[in-house]
Amino acid sequence: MPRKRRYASRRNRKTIVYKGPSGYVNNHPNPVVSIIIPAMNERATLADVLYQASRIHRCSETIVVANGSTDGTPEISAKLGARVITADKPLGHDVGRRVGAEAAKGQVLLFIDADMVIPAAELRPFVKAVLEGVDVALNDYSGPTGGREVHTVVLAKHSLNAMLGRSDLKGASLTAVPHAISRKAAAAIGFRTLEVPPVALAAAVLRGFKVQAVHSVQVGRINPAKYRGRQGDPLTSLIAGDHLDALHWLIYERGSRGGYSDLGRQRDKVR
Amino acid sequence: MSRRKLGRPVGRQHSLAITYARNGFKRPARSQKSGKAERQGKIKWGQLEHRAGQAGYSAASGQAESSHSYEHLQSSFEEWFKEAVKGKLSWRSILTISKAYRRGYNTIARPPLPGIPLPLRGTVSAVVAASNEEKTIAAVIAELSRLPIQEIIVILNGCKDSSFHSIEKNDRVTVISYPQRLGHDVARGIGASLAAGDAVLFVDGDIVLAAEDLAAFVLEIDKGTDVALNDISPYLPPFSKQDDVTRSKMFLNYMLGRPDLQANSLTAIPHALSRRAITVLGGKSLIVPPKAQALAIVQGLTIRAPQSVDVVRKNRIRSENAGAGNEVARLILGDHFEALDEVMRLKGSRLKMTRLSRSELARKRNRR
Repeated sequence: MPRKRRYASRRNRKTIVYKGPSGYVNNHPNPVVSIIIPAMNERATLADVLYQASRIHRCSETIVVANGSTDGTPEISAKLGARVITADKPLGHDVGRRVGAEAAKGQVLLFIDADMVIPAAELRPFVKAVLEGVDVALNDYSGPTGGREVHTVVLAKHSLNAMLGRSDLKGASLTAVPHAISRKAAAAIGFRTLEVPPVALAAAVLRGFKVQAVHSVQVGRINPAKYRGRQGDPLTSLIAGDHLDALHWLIYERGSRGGYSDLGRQRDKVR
Repeated sequence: MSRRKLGRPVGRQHSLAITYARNGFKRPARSQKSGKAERQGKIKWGQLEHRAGQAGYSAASGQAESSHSYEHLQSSFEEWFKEAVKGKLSWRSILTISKAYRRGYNTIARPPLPGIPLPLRGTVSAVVAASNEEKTIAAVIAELSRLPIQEIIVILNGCKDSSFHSIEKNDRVTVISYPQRLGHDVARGIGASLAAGDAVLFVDGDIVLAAEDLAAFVLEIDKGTDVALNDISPYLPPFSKQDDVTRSKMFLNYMLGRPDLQANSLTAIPHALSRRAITVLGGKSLIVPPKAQALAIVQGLTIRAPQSVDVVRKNRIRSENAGAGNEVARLILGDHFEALDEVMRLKGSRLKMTRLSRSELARKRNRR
């Protein structure tokens, strides 16, 4: 039975898919959409990702933020026609996104990852939503929530949204790709804030920007399991900490009760 | 095993009594082949229960009929338990033995006593927060009276019905009435600062809970736990269908490094606190239950959820607590903010979560 291949499978991840000499990507001089791809040693999937990026919007630019790469990621990206920003030091996804966003010229900033090949058709809805007036277009993906117990990260995302009064977003988060942000919103929130995605989300909601979960891409299934450490993935702890930072910021902005009432508790009655 | 015994049919009482009577209240002759446990000087489970029944029977038969009372049942059981049971037992086992003892006692006592004797080292207080609960308050207090609780403090607030008059007055019950509505948590805080017991049990006036269920919390505190929470996990839907409040309760526990507590919270009743917990946390912090819980975790108090009592379905539906995003839900969300604010002040905004730099993390995770 032929196996149905939806996205690039893990099997040919290591091979360099390099089609044609001139590359795929054409960067428009006055782009509407900026596609921002942080990449660290991702030559295996990069060509496919760039190919999909090239098919999203006619008026677009693709920025690859190659950080800490030793496998020729920046060279391949440049060859394929992307704008490349190079950093010697590894930056991580979030800082990479911020660096790309600062360099972007488009009105719509679309963020994707270099290690996940998502078809262009699945990415266009995010761009479309922002062009139609949404400020922060999130991936409508909540992770596995079937059981009574869930992963810490899933819980943290749901809880932050609930505490922001946006439980309609369920587990959608700026931590997950793909997502798109309007330049207006990104500038108002501050590019620096993008480095801690949950804080950026909280800021966007609090500043009254239109935040919506616009389209669902099941990234859990295509995101390769990377970390095989003896202890749990340190990323879990980092993301949980980011969510706490977001709540901390919220407490700072809205007061110690996060803007919720005390329902007329007569606290002074207790000695 | 113990669960099965808890549900043993009542008919057994009679057969026990007949057995004792036939043997002239002596232990039946032991066969040569005794079990391994007995040879080692340990008592087998069934035997302990059997002995408890026997002891209860003889305690009752040694007394005049007029002096059969819950106080006597409690004191004689405590005395017997001290002698007969060595080593620590779980609350479930203790409850099984205590019920067997009462069964033995009740074969003689007329009318049979409903109270449950418990082997306690310390004293117990109960705090009942109630506001317009005339229909249930009497039953709540009746259930509490079945336990060896020295004082039952009822905090009535904003009552416009006959709650006050429906409470049967006796020397164990203290009623404090506030004309204005205080809120359940404030009422509990007041009760906590008034209570004198070594363990303080908190219940609400609107939900009648069986004394058997409440006993677990009292026993847990008496055993040395500081905070005994109601384990509501069995009554929760899958995560995707849980409400905001449940999620924020779970979030707080996870972030403070106690994922084992799941969504169990001081917001839910019944729960019990030790004297130490009340001293450390203070009555004031109990006004915001999640804050008290967060502080308890941070201060290193022992927190356990010994028993599951279904208060999710039994909770009376009112205009304030029904539907998504209701007033009470928003109040509890605010409480969780306050709790996080408090612990962040003590432990920094990221609590126990990693401070590893993103660059360092990227390098670590990118290795293939």
